[in-house]
Amino acid sequence: MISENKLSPNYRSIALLFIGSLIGISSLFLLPNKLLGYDQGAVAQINNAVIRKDEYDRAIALFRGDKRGPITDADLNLVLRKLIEEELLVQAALRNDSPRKDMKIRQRVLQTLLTSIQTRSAAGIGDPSQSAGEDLKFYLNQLRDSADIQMLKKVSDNILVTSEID
Amino acid sequence: MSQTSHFSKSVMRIVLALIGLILVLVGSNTHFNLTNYPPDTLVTVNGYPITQSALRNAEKRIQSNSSDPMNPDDREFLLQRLIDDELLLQHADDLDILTTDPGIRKLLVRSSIDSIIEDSRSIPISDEQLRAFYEDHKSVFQRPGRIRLKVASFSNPEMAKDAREIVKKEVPFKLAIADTKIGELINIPSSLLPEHVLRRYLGSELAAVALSLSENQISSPITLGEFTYLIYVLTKEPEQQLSFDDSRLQVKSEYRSRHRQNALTNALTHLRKHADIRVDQSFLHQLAQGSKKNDL
Repeated sequence: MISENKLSPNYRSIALLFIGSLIGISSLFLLPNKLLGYDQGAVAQINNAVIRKDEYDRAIALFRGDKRGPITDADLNLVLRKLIEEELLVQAALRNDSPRKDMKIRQRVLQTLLTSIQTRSAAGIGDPSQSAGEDLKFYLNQLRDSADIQMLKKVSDNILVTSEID
Repeated sequence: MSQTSHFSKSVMRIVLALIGLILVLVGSNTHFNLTNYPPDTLVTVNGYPITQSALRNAEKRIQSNSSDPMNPDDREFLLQRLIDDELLLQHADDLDILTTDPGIRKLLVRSSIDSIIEDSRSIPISDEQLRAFYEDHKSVFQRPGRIRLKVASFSNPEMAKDAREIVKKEVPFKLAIADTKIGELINIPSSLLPEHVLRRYLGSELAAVALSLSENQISSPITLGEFTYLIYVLTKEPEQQLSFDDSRLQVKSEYRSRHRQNALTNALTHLRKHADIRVDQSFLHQLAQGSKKNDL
């Protein structure tokens, strides 16, 4: 009897933990729609990406500007279909690793990020005593500090590489 | 009894531990990279490999005009640059720059389309294929009908009638119009014009009348708004079917263009089929209602 009394709270806590875990797991399947923006104005969801209502409205406004007659239901569906196709192509390019393989995209991404760092520096958001170049160096050092960089090969046939990165 | 209870408790703990582990893994942003890196990988940056061939390519880009090999210090510097680039690319991905910047999105779309239609650019086309395509799409390879004409405008319909009578007496159109002193020749090219170009110059109503006339025929006066017009057709060339040999280049270009379009349509169908796409139909319905109201 005494042992039963001792065990029952343990069982209860384990059961509660189990129920909690089940709720946690089930929420993983139920929550994504909300987390991904369905309640924040999404008109469509394509895999993990959403097309927001304001994006859709903008696309319709552009379409309206080009069309002479009134907008029809078919036009609304066409605009949405085009936005979905655009998203599918963007996702396909990302799956193909285009930002690394395609030099045009690679340069554009790097340039965009560098510009934002420089703008930040010019706006005085960073350390005011640092120049834009120093700010970039500082930024890169921060990225390096939090990164996992591993050297797999020290020396190759015709390429000499040092053993340490930093 | 106690052994069974101990066993079930252990099993329960293991199950809970596994559930906890799954939750942690699903909730984290960690990317798992198994060590199946390319054999020439030099460095990994957060699990992403930078290979010897990538370094060589970068070297080639920098030294495109030089045949001298890069010295080890420069090569080391270049490797560091590639590591920095990789860190920035990963950071851009974390910041969603890749998917939210409109310019980058455009480039990504272009890149996808290019890779889809890549085969269409280089695919060899046999003469038989081209001939079969030509036979199946003959109407595409027609030279449209063309027309050469003169058009005069009058502010007074009676003067247009008089001018028409003069032209009928075989007086040249230009002279007859000049004779009226009110009529004015409309400035249009004196070459043969296809139908769509004619519409651009005259508008659809006058173009329709012009196309209905025969060679050397003058129209009845046509009043549109404040002016009355006379159209005189000088030459009319009917629609012509181009032979395969005359249109070979056009056939080839059209064949490739349709091949590209089909490849893109098929690829998009495939992408759609394998994607999880959900549309908020109720919003679309509301929007359609709102749009109709706005148009009214």
